Amino acid sequence: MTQKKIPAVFFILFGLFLIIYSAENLWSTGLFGAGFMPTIVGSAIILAAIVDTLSTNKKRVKIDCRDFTVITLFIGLILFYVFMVSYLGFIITSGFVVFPLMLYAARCRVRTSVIISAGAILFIYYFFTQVLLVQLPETPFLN
Amino acid sequence: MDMLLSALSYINSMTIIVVIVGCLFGLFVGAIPGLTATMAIALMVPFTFFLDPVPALSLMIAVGASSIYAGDIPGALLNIPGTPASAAYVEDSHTLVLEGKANRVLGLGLTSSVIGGLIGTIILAFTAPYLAKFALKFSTFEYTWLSLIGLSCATIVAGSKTSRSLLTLVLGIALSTIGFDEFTGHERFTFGMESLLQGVSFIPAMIGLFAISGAIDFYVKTYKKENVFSTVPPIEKGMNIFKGLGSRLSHKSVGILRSGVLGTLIGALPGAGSDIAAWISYALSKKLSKHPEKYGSGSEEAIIDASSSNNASLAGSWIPSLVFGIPGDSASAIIIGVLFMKDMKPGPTLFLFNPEKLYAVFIIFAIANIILLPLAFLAVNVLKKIIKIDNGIIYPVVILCSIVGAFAINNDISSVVVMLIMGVLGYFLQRFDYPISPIILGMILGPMLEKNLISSLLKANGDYGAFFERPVSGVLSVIFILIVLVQIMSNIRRMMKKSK
Repeated sequence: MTQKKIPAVFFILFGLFLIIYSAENLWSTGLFGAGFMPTIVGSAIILAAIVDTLSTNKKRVKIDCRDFTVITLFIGLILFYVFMVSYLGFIITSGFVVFPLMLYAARCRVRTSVIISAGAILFIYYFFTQVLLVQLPETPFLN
Repeated sequence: MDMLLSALSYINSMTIIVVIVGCLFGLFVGAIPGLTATMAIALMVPFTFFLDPVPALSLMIAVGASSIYAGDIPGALLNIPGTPASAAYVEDSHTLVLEGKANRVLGLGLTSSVIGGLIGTIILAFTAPYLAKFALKFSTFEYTWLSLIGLSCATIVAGSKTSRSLLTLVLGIALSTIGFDEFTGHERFTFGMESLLQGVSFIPAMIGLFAISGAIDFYVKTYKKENVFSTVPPIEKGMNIFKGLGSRLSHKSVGILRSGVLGTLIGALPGAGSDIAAWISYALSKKLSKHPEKYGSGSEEAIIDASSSNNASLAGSWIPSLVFGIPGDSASAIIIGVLFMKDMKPGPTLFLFNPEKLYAVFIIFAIANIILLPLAFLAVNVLKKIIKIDNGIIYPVVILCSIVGAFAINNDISSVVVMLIMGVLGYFLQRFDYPISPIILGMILGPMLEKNLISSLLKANGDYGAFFERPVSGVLSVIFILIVLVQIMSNIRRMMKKSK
């Protein structure tokens, strides 16, 4: 199986999941109940995925382990934010996300990266909390 | 004439200042991915407590008009639509910016939005009661067909990628089924997670699909040393974003008028909004264009038609709100609250007891759209410098804005997880050449389709023939069937061409 067929297989499995889940958990609510739409949607996904598999697509797709390395690190970074923001607060947790990313890819000195990161975080924090009145998690020991 | 003079007496310096402040605020909020026009309007409600009725409504109008336009700015510059309404033509606008036409794209979007807004205002002023009556004739049967017509737009927009577009569209509908079922109260696909009970909001999903997938792509390319630095686009010299637009817009006047009228009509339908207006106008524009092949890869026509339509729909959404007190969209629901608060009870009596205030509101619509030209001109010239900045600096800030934007929707960290999942999904789908915009359309129209389809089937005792019995429903069904047939025919033609 070539890499470019992977999404179609994923879609067919996803469509099957919708149908099976609806049949097992949702059909008790009646014909036009909670399972009606997911079943139609699941069937439509399978049908469209089969048509997509049959249609010719000449574009070559190559995803290697380097893609997965970056994506895993990226997911880790965002999940770090998700789990730590309530303990460390917005400002510090954002620093752990923004600064390494800027240091890695920006074409500027470390000092400049620190200044830009801090400036951006403080501006976003001030704008969202003071102007848009969005309650962002606060840093416990800064209060 | 007396009515007009009485209406004008309400428009004083305070009103104009409020309009300017509202426009500036709307431009700023609308330009931040994740923050919607509805949110911008909601944030301004406390300020209306201290204002007279006309300035208070002026604030709402100015914020709404400017924030819907402002959604185009990050879409064009960073490929991240600021509002869902801008998602339909984000690929066109960003492609043109990458070709070094930032001034032209932003100027076209701004001018078309303003013209669309003015068309909507004129229609609002002259036909509000009649259009509202027509919109009220729409029952669940008509809304089902309207949802299907809206969904079919995704496949028209997709061009040669019909099956892929259909797949991502249905994926969007599938995502919209997560959470409580509206009819039975039954949980669907929540797996015991409380945060999923309310469903998946399309705002974090949109941020993930566009902003986070773009960021992942950037870091993957940086890691692989595929030179991403050379992709920093050139930028036109000068600040004049209106240069050379006159002839282009006059050449496209019929399209602008068509999209403006269509946007107003769609806006007037309760539940439909600027998002659907932009998609339908985009699809119609593509079907009628002499160069449909350019759509999705840098079409100026697409930007002109879709952006004029989404701003026109704002005026349209006021029609059912003013005449019957029925909100056209979530922003109108807030505005109805302000109308009540200011002792302007929405409904037919509004035209009897407060006609001068009502006409002052219509004039404010026109003023807010016109004032948007100089204000957005300044804002755009400041913001467009973003594309000159190194992507290595831009992306961490975009990621942070995305996290905060997703979080701000419900003040819930689980929205950030939704954003991340959609970002990864969006990255892989794009790598495999699947269009991602239809997912957003599916998530917006999915609940509308399901609600109206099931209501209709329950009303008709499962008789599918009922969808063709009512006159408006019958017309809409013919339109939908024609769209599907034309799509199938053009696909068969394309396949036959390829096989030759």
